[in-house]
Amino acid sequence: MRTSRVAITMVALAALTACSDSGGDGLMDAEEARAEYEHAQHDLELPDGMEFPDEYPPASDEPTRYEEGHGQGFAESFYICAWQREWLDVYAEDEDAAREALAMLHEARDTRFMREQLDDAGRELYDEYLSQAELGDPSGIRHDVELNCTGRLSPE
Amino acid sequence: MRLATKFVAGAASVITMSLLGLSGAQAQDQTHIGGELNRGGYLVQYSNYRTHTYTGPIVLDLYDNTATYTRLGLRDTANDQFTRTNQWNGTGTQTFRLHDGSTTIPSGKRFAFNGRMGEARWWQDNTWAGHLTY
Repeated sequence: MRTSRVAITMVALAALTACSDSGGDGLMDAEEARAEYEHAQHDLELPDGMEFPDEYPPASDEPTRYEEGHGQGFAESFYICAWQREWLDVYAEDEDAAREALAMLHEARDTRFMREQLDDAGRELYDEYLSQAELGDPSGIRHDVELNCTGRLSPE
Repeated sequence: MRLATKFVAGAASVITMSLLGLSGAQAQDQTHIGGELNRGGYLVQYSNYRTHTYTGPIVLDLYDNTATYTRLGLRDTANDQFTRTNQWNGTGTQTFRLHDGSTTIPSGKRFAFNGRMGEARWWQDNTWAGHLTY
């Protein structure tokens, strides 16, 4: 009798799993990732005239699932790239604007992307780029923008 | 030598084990990396990023494959996959190639993994793991 109950339970569990189109792995679908992306934007102030891109998550040819943090990470990456570009635009000619942009880039150190999703090497490089910028040297931030602010992280 | 150990909750767990010294300013990082994939055969986009520590190839020695096959590619922070997809039908070492075939990836490039396995039953293994040199 007990064996039968176990067997029935296992069959029921298998049936439930078979009903789940995501495989029951706890990953986010596109709608959930989009909600996370939009929620993250509320805490992120962009430079004047900039807006978060609407295209998220990107259209995909194949069914896709997103690890938790995917939407927030994209929003925060966009925010960092936007302020890096702003600093590059103003550092040589507008001291106040450059100071504000650099302050925002320092604040970005507290984003989840920087604290949890990027590795130690990435954080160390980012700090190095900011130290260079403090001295008026744009090379680090320029390098970072050229490498890591491409595609959807570029202004439209 | 950096011995930073980090455990990332969720689908992808990463443990940085060692820093391999090379000449001059260039040095490769080596990491144990792994994650879970979707048994329904869906593409999974992981959310943790690593930073390429030298200009050169990124190499993955997969020592634990899923129950079917594992396909992996590297994605940038804009969510574009910038390498071709590599497929492992067993274990072994493969280098990631850019779409033009080159294996030279610039120092400072941030990357995350895209992954997919073949469809599998709910009890079949959906985890992969390997040594990443980058």
